[in-house]
Amino acid sequence: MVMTLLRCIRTEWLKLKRSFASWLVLGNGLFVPVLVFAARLRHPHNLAAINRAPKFWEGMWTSMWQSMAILMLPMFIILITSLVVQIEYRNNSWKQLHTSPQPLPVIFAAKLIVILTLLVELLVVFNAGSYLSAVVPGLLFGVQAPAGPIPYHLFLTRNLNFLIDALPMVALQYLLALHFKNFAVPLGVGMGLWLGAIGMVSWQYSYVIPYTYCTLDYFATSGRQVVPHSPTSIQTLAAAYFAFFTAAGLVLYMTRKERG
Amino acid sequence: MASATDSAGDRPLTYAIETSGLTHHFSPADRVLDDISLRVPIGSIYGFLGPNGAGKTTTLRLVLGLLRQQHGGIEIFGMPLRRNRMEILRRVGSSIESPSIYAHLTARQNLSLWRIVFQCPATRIDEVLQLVGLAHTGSKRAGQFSLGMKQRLSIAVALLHDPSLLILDEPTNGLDPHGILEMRDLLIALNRDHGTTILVSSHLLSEIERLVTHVGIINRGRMLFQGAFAELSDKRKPSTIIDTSDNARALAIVTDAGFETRTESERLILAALPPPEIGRLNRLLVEAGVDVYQIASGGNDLEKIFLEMIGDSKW
Repeated sequence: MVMTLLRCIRTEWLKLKRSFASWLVLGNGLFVPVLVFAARLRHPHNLAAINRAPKFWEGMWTSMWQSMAILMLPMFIILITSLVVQIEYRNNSWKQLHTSPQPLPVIFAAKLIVILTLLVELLVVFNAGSYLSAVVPGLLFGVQAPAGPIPYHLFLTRNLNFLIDALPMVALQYLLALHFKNFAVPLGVGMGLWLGAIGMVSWQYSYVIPYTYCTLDYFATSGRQVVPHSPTSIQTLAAAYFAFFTAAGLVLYMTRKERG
Repeated sequence: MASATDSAGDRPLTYAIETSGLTHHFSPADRVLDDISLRVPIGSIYGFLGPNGAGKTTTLRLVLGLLRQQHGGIEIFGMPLRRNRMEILRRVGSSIESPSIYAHLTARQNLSLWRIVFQCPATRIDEVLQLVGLAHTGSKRAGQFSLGMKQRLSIAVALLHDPSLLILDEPTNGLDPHGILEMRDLLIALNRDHGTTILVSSHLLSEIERLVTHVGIINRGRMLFQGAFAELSDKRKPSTIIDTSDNARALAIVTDAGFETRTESERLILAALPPPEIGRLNRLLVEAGVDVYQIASGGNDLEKIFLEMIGDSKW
């Protein structure tokens, strides 16, 4: 079973060749770093003061992650899940996939793992881009490098937390993308839920809405806004929602009357 | 080659596919298959014929597990499909309806995907590309292929793992006449050289009559005929065809002589006659001053039998 899954993941990965997936990772991951980079190039006289700040890296993280957590990450999840699943719908290839000797849970899991891998790729690209946008402008203008060591552990923990925060969105978007042939449905529902969640972040029970988790987590870690108190950690709630949506998605997928 | 015994290994296996009482409806009022008992003998090329909407594709989708079974049973290689899906699918190649290929990938990349799934040697990719005439396509994306090329690629995918059973739904769709001939030769060679059992659906008898060894005719969800192709051929009614310089006068002469005659395509059609009667008829016409251009033996072509069969079928 494990070998079948590994083979299936490999084929799913190959299907992304020449697709829009890599551009989506690069575009979403580098969007904010490129903006920051451009802003620093435009105002080089501020660089020395910025780099001298005692908590330069924490400050950089806060400004970089604002757009990422609230805007780019949800957008990326909504688009990438649709893209991965639509490859089968668009090419009329579900029937070929479902007449291959691969168990349905394996196909389901392989696609989900590929989506999660792309999400990790996005975070890697974003972090690398963030680092370069912080360091390179100084090098170009001969300004001293940012003060203080990079808090790797903190950044890694926060990245991991955001990854967990995003899991319910991934699972629900995946469920929708699998269930509806028309790509507009998962896109529309996803956008609606995401915008609705942003509007309800301040609500005292906003932690029940899984699309709020990245935003709530950002506000909590950046200290920019007081977030509603949840009975348990956001990550625990996210993991529970992820398990539920994944199980629901698998059941719906396996009990489809028509498979292509 | 398909094995010669069933899954238990103790009963000679006669059919690659055997369905019993297969019934399916998409809504309670819309019964698309009614008690279909499809029997595809091992080693045969089975033509599954019927007009558009007859239930061919639904039957094939059920046989491949693409539709959930409602009533009836499906056995492939003597094994129930429900319980042995993986084992069965390892030995089956299929192409159902429109080609299933990844348009953003090349032909080779498409085949590479399935090579991983079926774990066949890399050399198979070149073999099947050669076989279907797509070896020259290089870095061209499959989305830029003509419909015929897409169809060929779809068949290459189906052939990649050298299946014992090949299920092709209207495989000649989109192919030009030359491509149709090539496809026929390819399927005959696969059947002859590798013993591959082939189930091929079509809505045109003429397209597959020189290909198949067995035939099943379906219309409105019901099986109207199933058997060896020779049995269908036996249904041809022999006749005598006469063409003359004046067919209207010839008709009167022949009728006066006591022969039951009708005209079709401006020629006279009579029941099959023994040679002495043909000689007498010829003499009568010549003596009456009618030039005889042709006296030939004929019969209903198969297409006509097929059309009569599906035209006559009622619920």
